[in-house]
Amino acid sequence: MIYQKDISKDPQTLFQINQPGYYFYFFKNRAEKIIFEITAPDTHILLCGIFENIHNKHISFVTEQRHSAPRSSSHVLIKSTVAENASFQHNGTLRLEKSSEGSGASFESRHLLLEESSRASVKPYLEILTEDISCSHAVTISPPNPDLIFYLTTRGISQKQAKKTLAKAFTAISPQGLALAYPSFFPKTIPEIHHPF
Amino acid sequence: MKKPLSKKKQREETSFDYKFGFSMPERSIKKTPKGISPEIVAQISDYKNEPVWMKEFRIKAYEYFTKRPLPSWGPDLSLIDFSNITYFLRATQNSLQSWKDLPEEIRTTYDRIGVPEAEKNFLAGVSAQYESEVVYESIHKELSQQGVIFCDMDTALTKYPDIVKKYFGKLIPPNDNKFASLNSAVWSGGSFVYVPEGVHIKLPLQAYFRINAESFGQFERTLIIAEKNSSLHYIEGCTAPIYRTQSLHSAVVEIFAHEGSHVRYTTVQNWSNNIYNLVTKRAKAEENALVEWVDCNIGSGVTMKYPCVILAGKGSRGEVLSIALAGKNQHQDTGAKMIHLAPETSSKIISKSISKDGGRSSYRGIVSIGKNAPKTKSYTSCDALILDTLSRSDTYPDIRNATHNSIAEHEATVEKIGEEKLHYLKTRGLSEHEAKGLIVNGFIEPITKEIPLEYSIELHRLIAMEMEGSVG
Repeated sequence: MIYQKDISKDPQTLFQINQPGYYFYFFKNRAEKIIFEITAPDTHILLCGIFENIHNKHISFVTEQRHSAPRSSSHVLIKSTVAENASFQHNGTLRLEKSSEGSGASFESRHLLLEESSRASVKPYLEILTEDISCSHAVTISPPNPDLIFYLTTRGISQKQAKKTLAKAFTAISPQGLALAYPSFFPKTIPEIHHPF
Repeated sequence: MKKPLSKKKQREETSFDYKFGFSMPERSIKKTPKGISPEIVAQISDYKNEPVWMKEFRIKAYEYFTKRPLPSWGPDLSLIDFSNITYFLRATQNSLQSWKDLPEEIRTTYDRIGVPEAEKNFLAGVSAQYESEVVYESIHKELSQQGVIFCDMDTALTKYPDIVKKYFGKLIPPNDNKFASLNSAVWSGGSFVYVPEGVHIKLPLQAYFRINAESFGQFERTLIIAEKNSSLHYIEGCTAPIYRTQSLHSAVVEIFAHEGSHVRYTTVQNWSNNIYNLVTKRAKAEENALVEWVDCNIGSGVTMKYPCVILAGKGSRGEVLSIALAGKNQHQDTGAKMIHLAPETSSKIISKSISKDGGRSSYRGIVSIGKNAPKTKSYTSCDALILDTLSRSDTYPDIRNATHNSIAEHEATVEKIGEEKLHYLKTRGLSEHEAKGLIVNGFIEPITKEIPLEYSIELHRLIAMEMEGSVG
């Protein structure tokens, strides 16, 4: 059983998880800080968030994954498409205390810059205080793939529309895709997710 | 090339934790009293008969040093007692061109480290710094005839004042950070390398830094200028005796890589654990130039070192390959900075760290793609191994992209040695210790294969030595 929650409009910033289980949180265009404090063993968290077509503003977004219980896991996936006169900053910290043996955590922050005036920066911090763990983070900040834009334009789609299509595809997160990316979180079945993506 | 060590010899060598921990009686011809003050700074300048501009530079830098606080981030530096350090110690009258002419204790030191042997076999030039100044230097005659200059910084200031004045402190100004200020105030020794246009130095140039005295500060200053379409490989090695008191090594390295040039700077840092190693290294790459930092940090108690490449010319490239090994009572805070300021530049950072016996390794770095750097690519990979529950590993990167058509990528992993890998190797007849050593050496292989074979062998051996006793 996976506990699911759309936190797009939830003002809560601190999520203290003290009951074992599987927790899946998702949101769209929510800028409030998100802190996970995992204090129960055998707790597994997945957070997926997207920021779509940000324009004419700066967004500063913070995530923290704090593990102090053994055999726990947390995964964060954040994607954004940054349009004109916009900038996006993501500061993510992943901290595993000595008491979190046997845990695993990951952090992915991927951003697509759509216009000349788009900016993005990421600070993905890892603080690992124990041995028996597996942690990773990955960051990309890039424009839409020019080869794909070229391909779409050869099919009669305008450059502007091609960019728009690729931006849409970039933030489209499917349950099947999640199940493939996080097999330990979705070990048996592809979940029924009523998400906002 | 060195012969591989026999098993018996390896056992003998690995029975010591740190084979360069021996010390010789202190010898000094000139020495400043402990502590730092404007008078001490002026005294160092007077000892060296420096021009007025350099003396003024030092005094100004000292003012910056006193005003700047210690960094509020990174390792704890509060135990450094600046008033208990000797800032200048001259061990010999001049730098010499023959090992035979050196005083016996200094010659013995370098013999035990193996520098004269390495010089014979595979180096184009050698500079050996003992305490504050270079005591030995040599360069192949053919290179001198081609206009290559390789000498200590003090000599360069006397013989080539115009070049020194043009470049000195221009990449790392005296107010850059507290330790750059300190170095600028009390610098002594270090290397000066000038490679004229179109000259390629095929064999590496090496500088060897040794601290022998107790509670001492070594503040060498290295300046490398590679003119258009030239190339060079510079290697530095560092060791020191083990004392109970702390010593400080705070170097400044500036590299100017002009159009189309290629500079590789390799460091094999193996200071003893009582050394604070706080170094500022920065390079500027002009159009189509390539600068590579290969940075191996095995020793020291605390290291803070983030080699930087400023990619200022179109099409320039920067690379940092870094290994850090943090054992007991060690904190290796290392990383890299890539500052992209011009179009079509590219950078790559590969960092590998190992933490064991309660050691802490941290990767700290910046990749910044400025708005004037379109069509830029940057890739960073940081991998860390933690070998026990006492140790710690951190990653503090900062990735900024201010262009819409540049790509910045970063990835990092932290893990322990896989049980399945250990199990597999043990089924092939290896002991747990041998299996762990093999896995760790395999982990750092992508970087060790980039350094000259002799150093690569030495580095693998050092890692094997450090691993000794890490398995229960």
